[in-house]
Amino acid sequence: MPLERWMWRSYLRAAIIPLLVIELSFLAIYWASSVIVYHQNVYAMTAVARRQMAYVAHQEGHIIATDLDGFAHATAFFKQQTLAALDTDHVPSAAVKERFGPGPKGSYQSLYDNGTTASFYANITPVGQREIQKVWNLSRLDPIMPGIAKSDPRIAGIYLNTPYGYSLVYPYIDASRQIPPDTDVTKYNFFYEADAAHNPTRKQVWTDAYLDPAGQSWIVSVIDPVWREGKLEGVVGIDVSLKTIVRELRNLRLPWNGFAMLVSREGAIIAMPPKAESYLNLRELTDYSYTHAVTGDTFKPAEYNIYRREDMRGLAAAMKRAPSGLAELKLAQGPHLASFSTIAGPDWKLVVIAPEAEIFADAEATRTRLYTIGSLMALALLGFYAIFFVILLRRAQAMSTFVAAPVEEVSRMLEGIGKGRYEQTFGGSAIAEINDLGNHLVQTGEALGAANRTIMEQESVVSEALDRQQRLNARLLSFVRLVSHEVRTPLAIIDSSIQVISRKAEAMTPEGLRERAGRMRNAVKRMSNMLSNLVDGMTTLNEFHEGGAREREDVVDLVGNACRDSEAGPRLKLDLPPRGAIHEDALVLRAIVVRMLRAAALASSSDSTIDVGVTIGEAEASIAVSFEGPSLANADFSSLEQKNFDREAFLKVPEDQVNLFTAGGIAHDMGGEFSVSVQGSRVTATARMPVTMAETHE
Amino acid sequence: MKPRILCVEDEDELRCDLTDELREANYDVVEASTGEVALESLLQQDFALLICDLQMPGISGRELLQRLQREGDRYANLPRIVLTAFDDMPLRQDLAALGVGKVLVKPVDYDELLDEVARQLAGRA
Repeated sequence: MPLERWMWRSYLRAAIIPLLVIELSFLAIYWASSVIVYHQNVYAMTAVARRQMAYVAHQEGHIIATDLDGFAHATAFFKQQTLAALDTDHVPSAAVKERFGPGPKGSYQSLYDNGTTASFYANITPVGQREIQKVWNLSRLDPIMPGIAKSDPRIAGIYLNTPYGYSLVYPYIDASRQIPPDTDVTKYNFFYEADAAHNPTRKQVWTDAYLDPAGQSWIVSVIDPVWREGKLEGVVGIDVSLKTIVRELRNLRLPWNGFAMLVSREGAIIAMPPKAESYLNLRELTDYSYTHAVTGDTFKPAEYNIYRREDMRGLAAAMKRAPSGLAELKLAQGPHLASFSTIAGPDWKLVVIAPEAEIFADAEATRTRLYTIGSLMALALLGFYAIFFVILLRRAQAMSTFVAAPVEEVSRMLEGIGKGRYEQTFGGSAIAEINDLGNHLVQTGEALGAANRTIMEQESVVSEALDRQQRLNARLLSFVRLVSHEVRTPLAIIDSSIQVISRKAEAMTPEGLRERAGRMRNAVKRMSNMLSNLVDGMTTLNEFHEGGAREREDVVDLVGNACRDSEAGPRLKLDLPPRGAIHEDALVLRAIVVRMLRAAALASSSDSTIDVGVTIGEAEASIAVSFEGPSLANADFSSLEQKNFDREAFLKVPEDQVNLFTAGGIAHDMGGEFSVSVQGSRVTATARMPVTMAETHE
Repeated sequence: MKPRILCVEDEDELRCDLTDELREANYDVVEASTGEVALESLLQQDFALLICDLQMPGISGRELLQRLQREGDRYANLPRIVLTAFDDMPLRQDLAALGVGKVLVKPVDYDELLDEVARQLAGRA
């Protein structure tokens, strides 16, 4: 993994991820807190809203009840005036009498409007003197009824209906046109809801909303039965237009953008403001086009009854259970909270409905604010971390470069050391550990280099020793093979002679036998000489074999020591230069010098002098041994070099010459030269060997 | 007609005894003290058998055998017996490759030699 990526991951693990986790934890806590606060707010506001809604329904219901109570009082007053008018006969003025006369199809009615009431008998009742007298008696209500109606502009009308077909109405209506002559008012709700069957307690009754047959559009009425001497004389009533009620509802000051509606005992929506229309998908019935006479009860359709509406089931159930209360509604516009209270008197319900969205608007606004703040915090956090990431990424890049450069340099150094470039340099690093590593690596490289050089030197020494050993082994093998061959040849001669003698002894002459014996002796002598040379050769090989590691030695010291140990020591006359020439293999040089000295000792007379001289050249030391050797005067040293390489010839070298041949062989094998010169009886053997100069001589 | 044998040996005394034994065994023997002399004799005469030493000055016995081998069919039917002071398996394999029918190690038993000569000549016939 590259260093940059590793550092980046380390940053992520060590700094960014923990920070991010902490920040996200805080954010999560914030969000959780916001949610909890929101729900607590909703919970608290729900309680407040429910109380407020209940209070509003109750309060506004009370206000409406108070308003309606005025209509009830007016009705009660009108009832008392009616009873009073019925108690005593009355003779009206001529003008009153004159306005009352027969109508169409047997009805009897007021003929024109004099600014007061309209009255008529339907043709279901024969009109006699008694009926006329009632008209006259009740005519005393003519000035009262307008007074009552005008006392409150919300009063749409005031009337008296009797079970025997007589009706007295204000404001004036054209009965012949608006009311069928055979109308039976007892079949209308504004009458029968107050009769004995429907109202046994004979109290005032508020009707549901209905279509006024007298042309006052959709209205509600407060009606009151007029009982006299145990007989229902009639039903008085005051009409209140739905427009008026709706206006009242619209004027209610309701919280949370709510709306209110009035619901009858049977669940019918008596009145509702325009706002409720869209919520309930209804249209309020306030006006009516009277293209023809209304001949019966006309109530609002079933969809105006909340007991029959699916979306109002909860509210309906609550309203049936208790006079006041709360209910939650699921309208098309969303969840709503409804409260209701019973209006004393008409026993209606005032229902106040408010959307929960409005109720919880503050809580929702608070939640929205918290959400916005949270979102901004998250955004800020995101931005912060984006910047933090970029900064850390750049920092990681910079630090990786800062660290990687010396590390790569260390790597290159290691590679170089691995490839044998032990002398390394390190540019240094500001990081102490890497700096120490680099410097230690430099030192290690130097130590390895030194060790390697030592090993190489040792290897060289070992290799040379091995080479030498191999050469010696090969020479030994060659020697053994040669000896085997050379010994077999004289043996073959001897054996041949023995076979000849064995086969032909009887036929051989003494001279022939002596000749055979001479042959055999010569062969034995040949074998003896060969064995001597063999011993010398084997000795030399053994010396090399046991010589061990190569040792350097000053040539002058070596020659001096060899002379000191020589059997001819007293006869030696040395001519040695200053020390300073070093031969790399003291064993070899000693073997050469020893053999030269031995040859001189053997070949010279015991009283003669042997001269030993050393001459140091530029890269060569010349060692010369000169002596009087009469036995060698006729020796053939001209082919010395060839004989040195010809082992067979070497074995045939005479005994008194073998040391010189051995010395020459060794010298040649070890890269030197060897020569023997003979002048008269004076023999001079010279070995020239490569040397290196000691530092003091450089 | 006596079979003619070329006997190549650099040791004079040994060569004399060898030729004496062969002649007494009724063979026609031509002597050669060196490889060069042997080659000259081979060019001049036909032989029924070649007996030669290996270790000789000048042209060695092995080189002589190699030259005969290079002549191809001319000496293909010439039986060859080698007398040598060396004795090892690589040498015997080397000599067998050069057409040598028998290797006798010095010192040589003359009875054995004569038996082998007779066997080689019989095989040639």
